[in-house]
Amino acid sequence: MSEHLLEIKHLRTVFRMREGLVRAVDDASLHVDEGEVIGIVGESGSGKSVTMMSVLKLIAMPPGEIVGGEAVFQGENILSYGTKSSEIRRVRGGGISMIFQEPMTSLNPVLTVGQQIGESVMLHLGYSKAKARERAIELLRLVGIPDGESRINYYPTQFSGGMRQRIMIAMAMASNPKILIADEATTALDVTTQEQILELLREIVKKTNTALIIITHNLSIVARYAQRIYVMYAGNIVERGTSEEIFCETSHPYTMGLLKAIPRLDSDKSRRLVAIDGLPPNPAKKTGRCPFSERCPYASDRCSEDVMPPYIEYSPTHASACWFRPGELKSTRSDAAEGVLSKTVSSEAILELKNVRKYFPVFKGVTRRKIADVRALDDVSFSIYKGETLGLVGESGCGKTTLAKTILRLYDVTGGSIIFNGRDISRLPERRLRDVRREVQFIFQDPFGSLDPRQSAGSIVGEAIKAHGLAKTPEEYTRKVDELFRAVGLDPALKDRVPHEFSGGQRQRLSIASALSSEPSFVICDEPISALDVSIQAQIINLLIDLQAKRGLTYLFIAHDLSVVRHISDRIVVMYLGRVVEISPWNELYERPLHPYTQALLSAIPIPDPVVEKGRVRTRIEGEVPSLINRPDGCVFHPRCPYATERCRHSAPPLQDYGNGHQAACHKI
Amino acid sequence: MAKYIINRLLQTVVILLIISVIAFSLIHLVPGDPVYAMLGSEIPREYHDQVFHTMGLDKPLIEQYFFWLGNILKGDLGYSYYFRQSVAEVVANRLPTTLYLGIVSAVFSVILGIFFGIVTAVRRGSKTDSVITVLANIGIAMPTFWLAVILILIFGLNLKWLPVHGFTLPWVNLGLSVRQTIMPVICMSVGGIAIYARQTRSSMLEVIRQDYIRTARSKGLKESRIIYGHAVKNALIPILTLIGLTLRNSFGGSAIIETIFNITGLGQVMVMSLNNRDYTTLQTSLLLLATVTCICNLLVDIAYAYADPRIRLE
Repeated sequence: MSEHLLEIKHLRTVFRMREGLVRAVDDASLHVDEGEVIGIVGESGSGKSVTMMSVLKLIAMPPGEIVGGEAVFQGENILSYGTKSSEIRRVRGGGISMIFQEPMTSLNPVLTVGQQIGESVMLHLGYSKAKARERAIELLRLVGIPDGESRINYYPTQFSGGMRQRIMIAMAMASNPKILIADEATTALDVTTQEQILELLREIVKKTNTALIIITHNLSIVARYAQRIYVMYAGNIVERGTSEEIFCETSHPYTMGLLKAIPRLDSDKSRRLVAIDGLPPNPAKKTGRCPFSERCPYASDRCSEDVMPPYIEYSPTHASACWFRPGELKSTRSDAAEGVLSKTVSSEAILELKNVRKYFPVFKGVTRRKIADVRALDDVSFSIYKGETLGLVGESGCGKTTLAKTILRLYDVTGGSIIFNGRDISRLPERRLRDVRREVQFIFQDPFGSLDPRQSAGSIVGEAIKAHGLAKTPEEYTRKVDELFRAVGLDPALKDRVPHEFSGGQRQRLSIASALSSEPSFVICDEPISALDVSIQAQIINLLIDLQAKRGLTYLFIAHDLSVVRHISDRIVVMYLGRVVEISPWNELYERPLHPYTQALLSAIPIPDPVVEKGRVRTRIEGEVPSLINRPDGCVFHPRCPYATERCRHSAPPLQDYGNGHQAACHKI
Repeated sequence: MAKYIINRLLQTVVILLIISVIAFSLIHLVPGDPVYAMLGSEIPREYHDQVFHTMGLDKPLIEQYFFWLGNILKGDLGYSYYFRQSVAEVVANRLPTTLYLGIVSAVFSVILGIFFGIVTAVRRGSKTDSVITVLANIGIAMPTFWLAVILILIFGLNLKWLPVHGFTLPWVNLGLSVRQTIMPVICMSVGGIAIYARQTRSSMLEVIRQDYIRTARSKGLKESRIIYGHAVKNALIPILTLIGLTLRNSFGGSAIIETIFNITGLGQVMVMSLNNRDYTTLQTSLLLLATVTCICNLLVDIAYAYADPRIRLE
């Protein structure tokens, strides 16, 4: 008889794929008690989701198969139930509920939310239709959706992403489960919405004494919310412990690596991120030995033995699957954190935006009558100086990508001017934009969708060299392409491969090489790392920083992740609904944020350190980013601003200087 | 929703008006004199002039169009010199036959096709799946007229189980009607069943791997409830378009079947009026076909909005 609410013992799940046997979960043991919040952290492919999906038998079988272990829930081994048996169906949704990553696609679009919530209630609690409806309304109130009586007949499309995730929670809580699993539940949401959802989850499980399992790749989230943490790598749990033990007495080299690889809001910026070298192992080629040994800076002979290292127990809660204790680890590679290469920022502006506006007309009816403008960019003015990195942050709909596309003249401006190297390019005809196009390059977010799948890597990189006639002879062309490959850390021998033969991080290197091939002076990076795994993100950030120093590049770095932006940028621009709300030097933004939105954005981001987290005073804001079509009058932030007054409702505050190049647009400062 | 339907109705009226212009100009696109073209050049001069005048061909074009359109709206579809009847009578006598065959075969194709599609998708990779899929491919590849001839040969001529021609409405003589309609309906629905089955299968397979099906499964729902409560409604949305298309086809395509089985339906009328240059009848048939197509499309669009809240709420 197990004393834990759920105890997973030695779970092994495999997928029989064409390329071989993929050991997705390899001997994972974990447990959770009533009312506890635990976190399972790992990168993509680490097996964190598969572990929990296996317990509920939700993995596709075939090709998946649970080959070993047991999962004891309330005294019964639920792994022994059949995939479609009524016993496992009672556990699913009834005893253990799940919330998934994509709120946009996880709800059935053709059923009302009332039907979808009510279904669970009727199934597990045996309620009548009328009673289920009442319960659904009550659940909507519980997750913070007011007037449930009318909203219950709405379809998922009528809700925003954050609201849909609330509905998912309502649905998961419908049958009073014992355990709630949040599988990357907030990854697709905006930073401030993410915080609201996580706080909601924490409140609900506290109120109902439900256990919460947070599955995430985000170490900072578990630092803020989880009591105990399991770190997974390539199907193994490599370290487990309480939150404090994991972050303060880190024992496994992989966990250490992760912590060094992520930029922190409160860290010293001169610290260079220490990337974990190499790539996660191919799960189809997994051997018996420590899966991290190939990338581990401390690996020794012992690690190449074909056995998984046993857990060293440091305390009843803390253990790590490594041959060595932290004190015994000796680096075999030069781990000396290299200093950041110095760079020079000139006082001469490379790009000046003056009152740039971009409106998209909205048409309606058969006659396509113009009824309104969506003001995606409204009077955006700032400058970028030669050699600097300007960070641009904001949540969805703030206009950051529109701005990038407008600068590139992929959109025509509605008003204002864009001055590049002293020349107004905002109204230049396409044929006279050629040399600007060579000078200004772009790195996209999604390294999977932005590279032509049929073009070889070499020609992707070399295309611009040809287009701009930058190589006079074929030899020079080859030399230049090879140079670019080496500059971004790729082997030129890979030139003939096509994009799908590269990993995500390698593809992003390819995009960078391709952007650099026209020898630009200014590069716009639009969320260049957000599609990548944590350990790969650090590699790309370091690469971008090095390339800037070596080639004297200027970056406009767009991201939603303030800690990353802060790490790489010299100055930061914060945007909200098409307006610039604050411009600040990087160091002041965290220490002295002026605009209430910036304050909220900063405090929504958890710091990967439970001790620091507990001591933080946080500004929290309500609601979600409104749609641009229903843009508020006056200060665009006023409906969510805790300090809003009558004045804010009517007049939009201009950007004002507060010294040291720090500007903000708020009436209340 | 009401606004959406009104909007679509107005669009339908516009489309029909455009088609009426095309149908009207048909008579003027024929080289030479339309009356001679229709009745042959041997007719006496007086007769020609009389017909020319009755058809209003001596008036300005615009006036002719509105006169013609006005008559149609009043229910006067003109006189068919080939059938020696008013066109309204020709159509009224034959429309029920064609509609009956069209609707019966459409109902069979839709129900059976979707059913096979769901079965093959749910049991993907099983023997049932492969057998039905192979049959569906054969069904799509097989020409209707060939199937009709083969059926007539086997069941009509060799086994003598079923009559090879003619048509009786069920309320006239049920037994005879059923026996007479079996072969035509089979011919008219085989292609439809095959297409629906294949489309439903791929649409279901697409839906089954969606996130919301995973959500439904994680709720602990029964497999049958997941399929019929969550998957089917989503999978049928793309099938609706197809239904609109095939309804029109079974109406327009009935010409072949009616000719082979010697059924006096509208399809046959169309073929005959075309062969005999009976332009008044042809104009009406064309308008009728266009109207049916528009109504089918309208119904599909309304069904779409009903099935998919994303369209309804826009």
